[in-house]
Order: sequence, then C-alpha cells, then structure tokens
Amino acid sequence: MKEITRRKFLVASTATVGALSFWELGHYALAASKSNVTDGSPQSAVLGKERVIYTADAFCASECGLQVTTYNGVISTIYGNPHVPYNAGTTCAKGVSGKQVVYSPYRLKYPMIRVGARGEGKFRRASWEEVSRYIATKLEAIKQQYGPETVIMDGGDMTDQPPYWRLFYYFGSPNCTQHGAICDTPRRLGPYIIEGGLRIEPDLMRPVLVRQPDGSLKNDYSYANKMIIYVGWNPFTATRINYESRGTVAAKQNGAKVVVVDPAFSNTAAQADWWLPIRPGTDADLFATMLRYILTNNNPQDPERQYLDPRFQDYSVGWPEFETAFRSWWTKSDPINNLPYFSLQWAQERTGLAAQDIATLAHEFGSKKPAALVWGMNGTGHHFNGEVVSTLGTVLNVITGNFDARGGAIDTALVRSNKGGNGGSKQIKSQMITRTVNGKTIKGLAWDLEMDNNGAWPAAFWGALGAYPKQMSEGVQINYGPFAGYHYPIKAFFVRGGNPANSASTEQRWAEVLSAKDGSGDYQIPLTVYVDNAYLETGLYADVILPEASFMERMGLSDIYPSEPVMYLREPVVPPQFEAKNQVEIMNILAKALHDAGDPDIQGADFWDRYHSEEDFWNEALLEAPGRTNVGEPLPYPRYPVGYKLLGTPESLEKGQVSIDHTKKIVQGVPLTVAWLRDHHGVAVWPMAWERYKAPSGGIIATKSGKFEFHFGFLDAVNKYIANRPVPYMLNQVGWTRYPTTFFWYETVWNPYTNPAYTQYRTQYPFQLISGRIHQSMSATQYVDWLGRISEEHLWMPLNDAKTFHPVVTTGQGGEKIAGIHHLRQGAWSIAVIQMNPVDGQRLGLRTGDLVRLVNPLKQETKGKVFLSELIRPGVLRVPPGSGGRLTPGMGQTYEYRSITPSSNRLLDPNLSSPITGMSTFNDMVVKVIKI
Amino acid sequence: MITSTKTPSVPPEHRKISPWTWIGVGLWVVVLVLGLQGFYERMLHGSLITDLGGWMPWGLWVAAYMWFIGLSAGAFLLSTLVYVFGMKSLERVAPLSLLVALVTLLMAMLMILFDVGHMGRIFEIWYRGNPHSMMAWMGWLYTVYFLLLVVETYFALHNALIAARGHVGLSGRVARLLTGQRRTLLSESEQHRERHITTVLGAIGIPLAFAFHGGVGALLATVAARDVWHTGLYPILFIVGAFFSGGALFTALIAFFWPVRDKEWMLTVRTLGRILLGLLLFSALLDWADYQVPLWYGVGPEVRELSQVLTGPFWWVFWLVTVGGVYLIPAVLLIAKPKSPWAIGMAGVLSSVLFLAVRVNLVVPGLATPELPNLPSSYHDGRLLFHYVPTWAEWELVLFVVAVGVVLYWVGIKLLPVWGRDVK
Amino acid sequence: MGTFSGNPVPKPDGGLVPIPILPPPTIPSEEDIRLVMQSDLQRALKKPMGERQWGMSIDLQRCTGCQACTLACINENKLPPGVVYRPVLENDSGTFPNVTKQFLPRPCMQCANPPCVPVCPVGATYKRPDGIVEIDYDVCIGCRYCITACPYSARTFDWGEFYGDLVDGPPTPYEQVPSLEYGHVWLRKAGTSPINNTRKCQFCIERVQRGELPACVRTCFALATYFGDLNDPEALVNRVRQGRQVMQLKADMGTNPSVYYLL
Repeated sequence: MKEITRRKFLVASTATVGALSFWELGHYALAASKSNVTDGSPQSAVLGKERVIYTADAFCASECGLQVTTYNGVISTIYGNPHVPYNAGTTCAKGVSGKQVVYSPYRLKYPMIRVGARGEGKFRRASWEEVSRYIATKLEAIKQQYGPETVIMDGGDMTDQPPYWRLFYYFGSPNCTQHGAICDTPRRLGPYIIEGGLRIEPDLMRPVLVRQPDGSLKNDYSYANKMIIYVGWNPFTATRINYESRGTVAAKQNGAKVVVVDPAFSNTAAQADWWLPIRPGTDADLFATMLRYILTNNNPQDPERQYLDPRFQDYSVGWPEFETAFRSWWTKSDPINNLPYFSLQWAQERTGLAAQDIATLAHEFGSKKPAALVWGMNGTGHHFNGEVVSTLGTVLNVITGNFDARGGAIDTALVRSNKGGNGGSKQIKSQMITRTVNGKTIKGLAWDLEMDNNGAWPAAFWGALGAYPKQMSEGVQINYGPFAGYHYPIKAFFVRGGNPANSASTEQRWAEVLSAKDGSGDYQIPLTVYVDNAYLETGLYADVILPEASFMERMGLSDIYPSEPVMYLREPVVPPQFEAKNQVEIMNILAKALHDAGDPDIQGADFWDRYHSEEDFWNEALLEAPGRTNVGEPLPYPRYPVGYKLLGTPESLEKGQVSIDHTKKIVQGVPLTVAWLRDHHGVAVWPMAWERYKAPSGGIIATKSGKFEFHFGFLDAVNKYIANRPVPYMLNQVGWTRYPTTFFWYETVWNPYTNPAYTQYRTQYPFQLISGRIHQSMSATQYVDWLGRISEEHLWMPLNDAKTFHPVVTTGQGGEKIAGIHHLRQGAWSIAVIQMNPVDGQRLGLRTGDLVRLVNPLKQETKGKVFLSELIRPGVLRVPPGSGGRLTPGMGQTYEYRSITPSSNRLLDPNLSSPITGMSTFNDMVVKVIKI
Repeated sequence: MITSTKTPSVPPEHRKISPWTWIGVGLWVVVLVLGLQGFYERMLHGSLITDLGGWMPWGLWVAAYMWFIGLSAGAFLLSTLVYVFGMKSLERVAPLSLLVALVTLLMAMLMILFDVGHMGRIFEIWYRGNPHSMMAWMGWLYTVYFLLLVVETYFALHNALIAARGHVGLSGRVARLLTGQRRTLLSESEQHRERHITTVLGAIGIPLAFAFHGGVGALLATVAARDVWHTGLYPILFIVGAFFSGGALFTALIAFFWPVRDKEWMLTVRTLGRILLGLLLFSALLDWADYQVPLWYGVGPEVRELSQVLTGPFWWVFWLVTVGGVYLIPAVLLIAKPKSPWAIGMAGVLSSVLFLAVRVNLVVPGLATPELPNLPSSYHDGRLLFHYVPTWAEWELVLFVVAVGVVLYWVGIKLLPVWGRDVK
Repeated sequence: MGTFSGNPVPKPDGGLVPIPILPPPTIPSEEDIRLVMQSDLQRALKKPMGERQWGMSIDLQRCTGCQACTLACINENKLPPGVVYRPVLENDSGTFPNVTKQFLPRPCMQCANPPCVPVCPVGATYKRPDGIVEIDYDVCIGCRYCITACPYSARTFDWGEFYGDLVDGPPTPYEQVPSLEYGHVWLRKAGTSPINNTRKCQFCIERVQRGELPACVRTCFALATYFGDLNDPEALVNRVRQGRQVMQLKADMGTNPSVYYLL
C-alpha cells in the first residue's frame, strides 16, 4: 500500500452548490465540476483546456439533450444534458458515439460533382462556388421549362430542415417533404383524426415540472402508471422516444404492469411482466377484440368492470355513430375462419394468442387505471392496415379515460413546445400562379400543385415519400383543387439528411427511377442533389453532393416528444470539419446562386440579408415557443387566464414580465432566444399539467371541433375536397369509394392468416418477414465503429466472416480504396442477420451462420445469414431495417459485408401503400428460405 | 605438461564436414533468417504482431517459454544423476547436459522477455518483486538457477578447461581466461574437492529445479479463475514433463552429436533410451490422468475446454502431435529398437521438439472458454475473441530464439571442453 | 432470472435473502437519484480515504441492455480498440415462448479479495484503501498474468491499436485527447504506457474524486447502476439493496466483489 501514499490523491472539497433558479430545480451538479481539482494536480492542466457545451443529439430522432466536453477543440466526452428533462443527463449508446460521427473517415468532406453514371459513385471534387452555380443553373432551367413544382425537396430525418424548405418554398415548389412520410404515418393517423395529435405515449417522462398548491414549481419524479401495453413498440432499443426506457422500468418498479405484444422477445419484453408473441400484422385484430370485450363487458355498477370513462362523451363528437358502426361488424363472419368478427375465438385464430390472454389483457387494460395503450412504428406503422390499429388504439385510450390522465396516455404532439415556421410555407400558401390545364388558363395557389394532397394521396397528411418513385417515373397527376387535370413531371430531387434510395419503400425502384434515362439518353430527372454528412446510397445517385455539417457542427432546436413543453438548443460543438457547411449557410449560398442565376423569387431580404447566422434563423423560430395554452390540472400558470396561449421564456412567464392580449388570448412574455437558452444550459422547460383537453375555453385537442372526433372530421373534409372527382386509386384496394368517416376496417396485405387473397402463399412461402428497428443498424448509423462492436436483439450480431480488404474512405472522388490492408477477424464485427426460431431452423437444416436466400412471391430476393433464436415466434423472420446489402462505401466495414447481409426493403411490394396515409408496407411480406 | 604444445582441440574425424552438417547449417541459416524477421517485427510492432487478445492473453510464446524452461530443468536433472547420484554410465556427458540446461534457460528467458509488453521493465521483478506472485518467484529462482548453473558448469569443466589451455584459437584463449593462472591439471584431491562442490551444487539444484519448474506448473495451477489450470497435478505434471522433454533433447544430442561413435556412445545412448522410455511412460500417465479425471463423468467446469482440445478444430494438435508425435511413435521406437542409437535419437528429437504442443495445450485451453457466459457476443474486437492461432510472426520469433539457442550451444561446444575426457 | 453463476448473498444468520414478491420502492421518488448519489459522494469524500469503500449496485430489473455504459466508459477513458471495461452480457434462456433475457453489465468487481493483485510479479496492481483495485501503468511490465487470474474477465490489454488503424490512417483526433485515469494524464503513444499495459475499470475514480459519478452511472438511461460508499449505510448504493435479492458474481470464489447485482 505504500504506492498509495506515494501518490498525491486529490483532496476533495465540497462542491459549491450555487443558488438555483426554479427552472433548473435539482439539476445542479451532474455537470462537470472542476472545483475539487487542486491547482497543479496532474489533471488540472487537462481540465483547464476542457470546455463544456450543451447541445442536442441529432444522430437519431430522439434528439437527447447533450453535454459535450471538448479538449483543445476536439470532442472528448459526451453525456446527456442533465438540465434537459427528456433524458435528464443520460444518453444511449448511439448518443455516446457522436464523436465517431464527427471524425469518421467515411463522412463526406468536400462538395463533389458526379463524373460517372448515377449509382456508380464516381465524383470529382468541386468548390462550393462551382456546385452552387451548377445547381442554380440547372434549377433555373427546370423552373423555366417545367415550373418550380417539378422540384422535390426532401428534408430527411431531421427536425432542422426549415432552412431548406424555406429556400424551395420561395423558389416556388410546394413539394417539400421529409422522412416522417416513410417513418410511421399509419401509426399517427388514429391520433391525428381523433384528437389532432400524432403519437400517443405513456406518461412516464420524468422529471416533469409541476405547479404545486403553494404556487411554487417542483420537479415531479412520481409515477402514477398502473398499466403500460406496448404493441409492436420497443422503446428500449428502437431510439425514438428514449425516455420511455427509463420511465418504463421505474414505473414497473413502482407497481405498474408492463405488457409487450410483439412477435419477438425484444429488450423491452425482457423487462416486461408479460410478453404476448403475437402473429405479425394482427394488431388490429387484437385491438378490435379488446374494444369489443370492453364494450360488451363494461358495467358501471361493478367496480371491477368500470371499463369506460363515464365522462369521455362530454368531450367527444360522433361516438354513437362509431359504436354503431363497430357493433355492426360483430354480426358478420370472417371468411377465413367463419367466426364472428372481433370475438375472442376469432382473435385467437388470427393473432395466435390465447383467447383467455386476450380477455385478460382487455380486462386489465379496462380496469387498471391509469393505463396506456401504445403502438409502435414497427409493429403497426409499417403494416398496410396500421391505420386501423392506430384508430382503434386511440379510441381505446380515450374511452377508458386514460387520455392525458396522470400516468395514462399522452399525445406528445399536442403538448410539446411550438417551433416557429421559418420554412416559408406561408409564402407558398399565398403565392398565386397560373397554369394551363386542358387548354384553359387556371389561376391558383402554388400550394395547390402539391403532389400528394392534390394528387394520389389527398389524405396523406404527411406526404407519401414511399410512393415517389411512381410519380418520379410517371409524373404527377393533379386530381383535385383548382389545377385538377394538370400533369407535371419531376425534374429535380434535392434530398438532405435522408436516404430514400435505401429506406423509403422498395430499394430497386428508387435505383431504377433515379438512374432512368429518357429517349435522348439524358436522365429523366435532370438534377439530383444530395446533402448530408454521411455518404449513403442516395448519394450514389446524386449529380451533386454537398457536405453538410454534422449535428455536432450546426445549430438547431429540439423539442422531441416530451409530455410538457420543452425546448433545447443544438449548439455547434466544433466547427464544421473539412468543407462542410451548416444548413443556414447552405441555404444562403444556394439562394445567392439562384438569385445570381436570375431567379426573381429569391431575394437577399428573405435570405442572406435576413439571416446573417444560424442564430438569426433559429431566433425567429423561437418566437413561437412554447405556444401552448394555459390549461390542465394543475394549471401551469394560475396567474394567467385559462386557455390563453403562452409565449416567452419560462423566466418571464414566471416573473410576470408579460403583456396579455385578451382579444387574441395571448400571454406574451420575453421572447425565447438562442442566447437565453445558451445562458440556461441550453434548455427551456415550461410547466406540465394533465387533463389538458378538458378546459371549457379550449383544450389541447387539435381537431376542428376541439373535441375527440369519432366521426372523423379531417377525413370528412378531405371527402368534401375531392367530391365530384374520381376516387383516389388506392381506396379501391380496400373497396372504398370515399374516405371512412367513422369506424373502418380492412385487412392487411401479404398476410395469409388474415387476408383471404393471400392464403395461397401459406405453404410455399411459409415465413412472415418483419423488420425490427434497433439503433445500431439504422440506414445511416452502421459506419460508426463502436456501434458495430456491440450486439443487439439477435438482429445485429458478430457473424462477420474473416475478411482482408483495403478500407474505402470518402474523398473528393467519392469512395477511394486506401493503400493499407485491413484484416477484420471473424466474429469481430456485428452485421445484420436474419432472426429465425430454432424450430424453423431445424426443419430447414439451418444452423446459426448459414447463408440463405429469402425469396418472396414477387420473385425478389435478398441474402443473409441466419441467427437461430428462441426469442422469435416460429414462422416469423426478423431483420433489422435498412441494414443489409449496403452499396455505399460510406458504410465503412458494413459495406464489405454487403453480399451476406439482408435488405428487407428489397422484398417490399412496390405497388402497395397504406390506403389513407400512403405509407410503404415495410412489414407485410411472406418469403421462403433457400439455403445457399 | 600439455600446455607447451599446441594441439588441435577437435578430433580429426570432425575436420571432414559431413553433408549432414551442411544440411544442419543450412537449416540453421533458414531458421535464423526467419527468426531475424520475427525479431524485427517484434521490436518494431511489439505485441501487435501476435494473435493474442484480451480474453486470451497468453499463447505460443508463453508455451514456448515453458517448453524451453522444461528442457532446461530436464537437462539439469539428468546431470544430477551423475553429480549427485553418481551414475557412472552418464559421467562423460554430464557437462554437456549442464551446457544444454544453461542454453535452454537463456532461451526461455529470451522468450518470456519478448512476451511482456514493457521489456525494459522486466528487471523490476528483481527489486520490487511481489512475494505473493508465482511469477516473481520464477524470476528469482531463475536467477539463482542461472548462477548455480554457471558455477557448477565451471567446476564440472575446470579440469578439462585447464587441459584445454593449450588449444589453438579461441577455445584455448577461453580456457586460459577461465582458468586464470592455473596451469596444471587438478590433483586427485582437488578433483575430489571440486567434484564435491558439483555434488553440493547439483543437490541444491534438484529442489531448485523442482521448485522453478513445478513453479511454472503452479504459476498456472494457482490461478483459481481457470478451471483447466487449477489442479494440484500441474506442478508434478510440469516436473515430469521437464524430465521427459529435457531428457529427450539431451538423448537426441548425445545420439546424433557424440564426437566418436564408439562403444561408450552406444552404451550411453542405450542408457538414455531406457531412462527416456521410463520418463515417457510416466509423463504419459500424468497427461492421461490430467485429461481423463475431469472428463470421466462428463460434467464439471473443465469438460468443455478439454473436450475442445480432443475434438475441437485443433484436435490434431492433441491426437497427431502430442499422442502420436510425443508419445506413441517415440515409445514404439524405444521399445521396438532399444539398441538402435538412431531410433533412440529420433525418439528424443520427436519428444523434445514436439513437446511444445503439450505446452500449448496446457496454456491455451485454459484461456479458451469465456469466464462469463456470452462474453464473446458482448463487445466485439479482433482482440476480444476466444479464438487463437499463433501468427507467422509469433512462430518466427520462436525460431529466432531457437536460432540463438543453437548459436549459444554451438559456441558452448566449440569453446568449452564439454566432451569431457575427449581431450586426453 | 439468476441464471448467471452468481449466488444469493448469505444473511449474517446463515439464511439466504428471500425473493420478495415485488420490490418495495426503495428509490426516492421525489428526487433525481443521481443527485442523491452525488450528495452521497460528497459525504464519502469528506472521510479519510481508508474509511470509504467504493461500490456499485446494479439493478438487473432496470437494465435495458442499451449498452450506453459500455460506450460511455470507452468515451470517458479514451479506450483504444481491443480494450473494454464494462461490457454488457446478455443471457437468454428457455425455449419459445417461455423465454427470459437478462442483461448483466460487468464493470471491474473491485473485489475485497482480488485474485489479480497477488499474481502481479511487480506489485503494479494493488488494492487501494478506498477499495479501488488500481494499476500503476508506469510499473506494469505487461506480462498479462493478472488477466488470466481475474475470474470476471474484467481486465483487458492495451495492444497499442488506434481507431485510425482501421483505415490505415493516423490516430483520430479524439485519440489525441488524454485520459485522466487514476488522476494522471495519459496520452497514448506507441511504446509508452498505458500501451502494453493491462487496463481495467477503476470506477472512473478520477471523476469520483471530483465529486462526479462514474461514466457508466452518469449515462445509464434506465438508472440501473448505483454507485457510492459501501461503508455508508445511508448511501443510496446500500439502501437500494434492502428487501431485494442480491447476488455477487461468482461469490463462491470468495473474491467478495464490491459490485452487487439486484435480481
């Protein structure tokens, strides 16, 4: 022990806890403290060069608040920002890996112009000046010849796309979209049409800031949840609403019962009280049967069976209509099993779950309150009939009185802070244009040319990106609105921060469309631009590649899925690496180039003269924060009138530094700014409340009536909009002539157990293929070395072969093999695998690691290695989405394994999209397995 | 007095260089060239050139070290048959066995030096050694053993060295250097006294050799974390193995490199052959016990590792190299041709050279099973695998040590009169 | 549950701690548990070094297997390829549909009776008075004997690899940031420590001495890892074990780890 005395161990002095502001309650000391380090100690010199920056992740859609430390300007450590209640100082494996994104040898470094054919990945390095001129010249030519609407701007999977949208809306194209359209729109439909929100999540984000009876504010860490049911939802691994992992285990230990309904025993199922291994694509069956059970067995007199909330109808319209329509189905028999719809026996036949288990689940959900029924993007958002699931799920949460109840189910879209629209949509929605339709000159708004709402998908409230290949090859047919009958081609595709060529519907179709040529040998789409810091497949098809600053190098705002208004800042941590630029700079550069190329719609006053920095842009966005009304129990601000819209910093609202506009019903405090956030650990938090829909003067429900709509006003409005016009074509797929305005039902596709049209495939294609989202293996994450070093859920496993290769790094020429040889040993790197039950494996003579082909009835196929696992339902194969067969060297080592990793997106049915939302059907397919 | 006349130190038969010598020298050159390549790689890239990893931190080099040190212990213990137990039939070859012990000790030290990450710190064992550590004890015991070997060799060769003072060339110069002013051969009483010293030193050496080589076994056996290693049999196994492999090496050297193919040679070789057979059988018995006992009922923590040795991808190391090469073929040779020096020598070559496989199969399987379930799938890296195959560079470095050992041996027999009475 | 080779901790009277039907809510619900742990740290740091024993309690009912701790640790300690301090083991058992899955984060156990310490030939690794098993990188000769001796595979070796090697490039920028393990400044360079040394988890003792929680505890999304002074009965790291079935890994070896798993 003499060694100890030789060393000078630091004498720890008590960390001084400064006076706390009320909105920073409790979070004083998780941040780096240097107070205990004595001067002259070995580490003081290092710590002296450290800088702590509060920022936000954008490597996944969870966007955790981060606390990043830099040393000499290089990122040193990444932790969660303790002041952001969403993740409260924690962050996941992916969040921690951010520095390998910034310093990745595989990232895009320079602007590049294509020199080979599209898809080849051959580029030459160019200057920003050259590429912006190149883009502007082409865009202007397209605008002149075909009109600005022929340009699609896809803002990708980030929340900071407004600068790009702004540019293209001003340019005149209404077709600005983003990745949400291929994420989970069917899952969002139910909330959207019933209460105006998007995603229902359990109330377990903690802490939340709550007004106390004495008027003070306190961080609430309590859990009131009694039951949480996750259907096809895996928050422990799937990175989206990451706080749910923390809250779920805490609520469980506090006595909540956690149920996971999923064909796979996910990590979430591992910590659940009950796992129900449902057959894929039968979530709607389960929900409908639960609803029938609850309606049938509800007894207000029996305390054990008071399933229905006696007061929900006070806040609803159209319930009797819905209930009648629903009950009318009970009398019908299912042609597949001749059992009455929604009966327990019927559900047992279809879901593969025991009738008794379904009854128990329905009973417990109805009687254990507060409860939350939550359905996920994989399980339901990716099935053809996910729209039925989300509608029934929303109904179940509302009628049992769990909606916005403490410990119940919260629609996060209704309560999160507003973030202002600098995206320029006001511009596009007010700009009058003329087009010649059938020889007549028609006047209308530029917005009326928007390709989805006026074209094939009038009810796709979030675009229909998965269906774009069809419109790219056939052109956009405007069916509705003033320009009905107008047809225009797609002439430019500008994609940023997304990878549709790999992840938005059928992979081969995108490749085909983006490299299709017309009769004269020119590309049908004359301009494709790819903006990102990751070099993904879509980039291979780009004419121009623009290197965007990574999330650690650019500014943005995050407001992701909390149950209370929270806004936090993405502060640049390091300057953009190489020649990357942030999105506001890129907007200005391109705007200037367009202006110089003679575009009259792009003026300095709207761009470079208005936004001198990123901060200018985002300050404008913050003007509308939090933008939520003063409602709920306990009332967030008792000193202000109920139902008034709140604007301004938490500090000013708390201190009463406000002006109140009684006509507009607005309480205006000191506007929130980037500078204010920066001074407050990067975050603003406003108080939480519950039952926010009950306010007589207008609650949070965002439907037209301000009430729960069981008669779907939104779809009614769409029907009115499209009246006297041909029925949108995909409605025919489910036999509708108009959008349903109350309870509706249709079967999912490619499911031989529920849809009579597909029963023929049962024997020849005995496996249902589903995809399981896990954070290591998303389309844009596999190049991160650390994420390849961990396994996940028997989907992302170290089954790599030994391989010797020249690593390919990105350069000014696209990918370039470097001189050195790298030897990767067998079992030293995770790759995407095909998860299969050992029972199936034994039948087919397969062992873990065997290479197989998956072939679907459409004769499409993919290759991959089998991983036998007891954690998957027999008859079901699960692969991670966007994970295999990666064609871009930007994927690093994963690229080397492209021929032995499966891509489920190659097997999609390219002609099917969910009938209302236009979402690709990622999880509906049957396959056979052929050993190689 | 012989000192006045300069006589050739080498018998005339040895002046003719046989084709075998050319082959031997050629082989040595190949080994040296490859070895130098390994040495260069090791000095430039350190442990990176190995196939070792965090889960399997020891491999070929540690096994080779144990192999060499076993050879040393075995050769030394053979010498004690003469010096301590007065076995006359081996009298003449006893000094040679001391030389072999010394050379293989240096080879072992060199090998283990290359294995450690910070070679420059190896001497820390001397001045800050941890008395709890079997490895620190190894360091100390080898030092004592080295000194003992040097002194004993000196006394064992003293008279022959004096006799060699008159030799032409380097060997004479070395002899003069080592014998100082002494010009006359030792008297009977002096010889007797010095013989007594070698007896005492040899007697001290016996427990020392048991300690340091049993200690190598204990170095592994005391590690409770490794089920395969953690057995009381290991120290004994290592000592017997040392006897066997060292004896085998020595037998081979005598059989093939004895200066004169005379009757004495024949008798010595046959004696050694009988001893070798005994050691072989005893060693085989212990090895059998080491495998059979834990495997008997097919349950227990070692079953998986040992079964892996017997039936895993490297089954041939056990069945072909160890069972066949180390035990079976030599046993057949020794039993079927007990009088053929060639057969005995070949048995010695096979058993001593291939004994490395026995050591590899002691070191590696003990590490080859995860200590915690599913460790392999927790975090992936090329150096976090339960799969180890020595790299070419690792083999090359072993060859380097062998080449150095050959040089040391050659220098020893050239410069020192280890062939004893020959000079008379 | 409990499929890892761990044993329930015997009670002083010789009986085993019973399995509770549902764990009582021993976690303070009205404050951030990491703040509670930080105040525990402050209390412990005021005591003389020999009177505190750093330890962990890992709640296996809370661990979600996200492996953030594994990578946060690598991030904090600037670990090179081949070195890992805190992997998360996943153990599945049963057959469909009766299956279980348990996650087991595995830091260094900082054993009371560490098998790795006596084997070190030069005394480069030793048990500190505060319970941490330290490695003196400047003394370690790199023999790797301790790696073989650790029953938990908690020690790995720094072979001298860099992430830059993966693309045949120079060390990445983030590999030029020093780590502060044991309160010293370590910048990896070929041939110098900690390259060619054995490395292992040290509970981020350098952070702890500054009053901060270890990286794994700090980043744990599910708040499954508790850290503090085992000698302080009021410390949360001890309070969370009340009423829970507790195991130490390979308790039968007599190493007496300072890491407790709550089943």
